[in-house]
Amino acid sequence: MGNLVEIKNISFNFGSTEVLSKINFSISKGDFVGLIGPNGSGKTTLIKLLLGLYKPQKGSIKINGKDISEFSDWGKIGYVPQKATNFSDTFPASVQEIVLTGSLSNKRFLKKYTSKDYDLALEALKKVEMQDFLNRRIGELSGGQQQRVFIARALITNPEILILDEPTTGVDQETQTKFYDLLHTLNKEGISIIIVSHDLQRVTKYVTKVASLNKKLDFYGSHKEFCSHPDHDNEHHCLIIKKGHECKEPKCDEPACMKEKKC
Amino acid sequence: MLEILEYAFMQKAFITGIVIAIACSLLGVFLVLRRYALIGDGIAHISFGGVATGLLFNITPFFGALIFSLIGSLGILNIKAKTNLYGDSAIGIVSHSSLGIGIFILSVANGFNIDILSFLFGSILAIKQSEMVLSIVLAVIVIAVIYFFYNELFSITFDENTSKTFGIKTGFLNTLLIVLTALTIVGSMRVVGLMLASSLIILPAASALQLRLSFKKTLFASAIIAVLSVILGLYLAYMFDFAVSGTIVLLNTIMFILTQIYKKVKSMLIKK
Ligand SMILES: Nc1ncnc2c1ncn2[C@@H]1O[C@H](COP(=O)(O)OP(=O)(O)OP(=O)(O)O)[C@@H](O)[C@H]1O
Ligand SMILES: [Mg+2]
Repeated sequence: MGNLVEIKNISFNFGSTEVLSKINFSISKGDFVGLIGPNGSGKTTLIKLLLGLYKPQKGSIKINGKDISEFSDWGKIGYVPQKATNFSDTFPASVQEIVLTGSLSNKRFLKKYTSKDYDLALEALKKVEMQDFLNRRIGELSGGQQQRVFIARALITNPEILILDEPTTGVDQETQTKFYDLLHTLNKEGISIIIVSHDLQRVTKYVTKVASLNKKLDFYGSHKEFCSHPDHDNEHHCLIIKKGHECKEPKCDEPACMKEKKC
Repeated sequence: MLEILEYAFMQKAFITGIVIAIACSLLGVFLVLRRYALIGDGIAHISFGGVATGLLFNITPFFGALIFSLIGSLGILNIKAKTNLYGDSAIGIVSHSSLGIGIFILSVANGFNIDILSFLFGSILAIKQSEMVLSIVLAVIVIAVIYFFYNELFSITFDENTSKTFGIKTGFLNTLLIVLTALTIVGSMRVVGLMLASSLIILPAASALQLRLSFKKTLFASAIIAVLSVILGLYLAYMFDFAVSGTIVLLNTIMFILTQIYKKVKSMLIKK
């Protein structure tokens, strides 16, 4: 079985500044990759390269064996951007209309929605528990609710790969827990996931691979390996693994602890 | 009041005014939401250079404006893509260069100052049959493009970057939108004049957005507001001998104020 995503020797510059240098790694079907790294380390840039939004100056990216420049099966990729565009609160769009746009990736020229698309939109909204907001205006929702709508927009095509750039920014703890459970379920159903996160602890149980980025790819491997490396001793991404799930006070908001209801 | 429609020049003015109002106000909704509202002004400035060049070389100023605005609007997109400038700076660079050309030509050959005024302030009552037909064709094209590409245009208006990952040809649609805007601005040159050309793009759309309707209804509301302002504006201008373009634009301003009052009243009623 070939790799789902293959990144070979990618380098990327903004003008004369090198942002990514010689990145190599591949993602297999069913992987749940946590992409970590400090601010400005190139995480979003790498994701935009994966999506074909930027073109690498060096190296190649293949999805399902096909070079990204020739890739056209956009319905197979769901993307939740880091920041939704800074649309104004008065933007005249309902939640339903926004989610439906996700299905445009499965359509050819002169794209119109079918009644099936409306069903799929409702289904996607149910997955993020936003079905009651179907006809609300997007600008009237809270930031976290909007984020859930954007996740639904990415899910509407039942993608094979879900790419999420800090998707839970501004989402409350309880919803985050549900959201990560949802990702876990999707992953078990066979969807590969790439998630940029500043807080891997929340996904610890589910992440199969960790990619640590800082212009170069510092590390790529399992979460356990990552944390057993002496350099990563004090990484907050490893606290749970180091200390186990002691569900005492300050950790009560962690998904594992909330589940065990020990708090 | 209907007797003014007995004059052929009035019929042409009404028909041209109405179709241009529809084209401008529909495009306006997309442009205003994408923060491209000022592109109308930019293209009007560009057209001014074209009008002056046309007058200088004895080409129909209409075609001068058309050619300048097409090249200029593509130039804006190009500058925006090639440099890291925001859209408004790109608009500024191209439009002021063209405006500079126009003013330079005017100062060198200062024989046609009077002609130029009719382009700056409109001359809807002197519209020719051919201009009316062109305006109708233009409006039909704008409506057709919005109808056929509605979902894609909606998607890129809301979130252009993510739309690219849906396989939407954002470059093509952006170009289409800007080119149609350029054509529409040139078309509205005779209706409201270049000075006020972008008012029919910005004001009806801005008013319609205040009403908090769905996207489709916003498009309709914008068109209705613009058409009403043209009909009423022409009528009032005829009755009281006002300047047509100024009257149309002021009516749009009044509509905008009315939408504000409507919003206030509505929120007060909801509170009760
Ligand atoms: N459009 C741009 N033009 C120029 N430089 C850019 C642009 N976008 C990002 N950069 C630079 O590229 C580097 C990597 O940015 P990137 O957004 O990929 O970081 P990130 O890892 O996603 O950071 P964060 O955790 O803050 O989201 C940064 O130094 C940033 O300043
Ligand atoms: Mg980022």
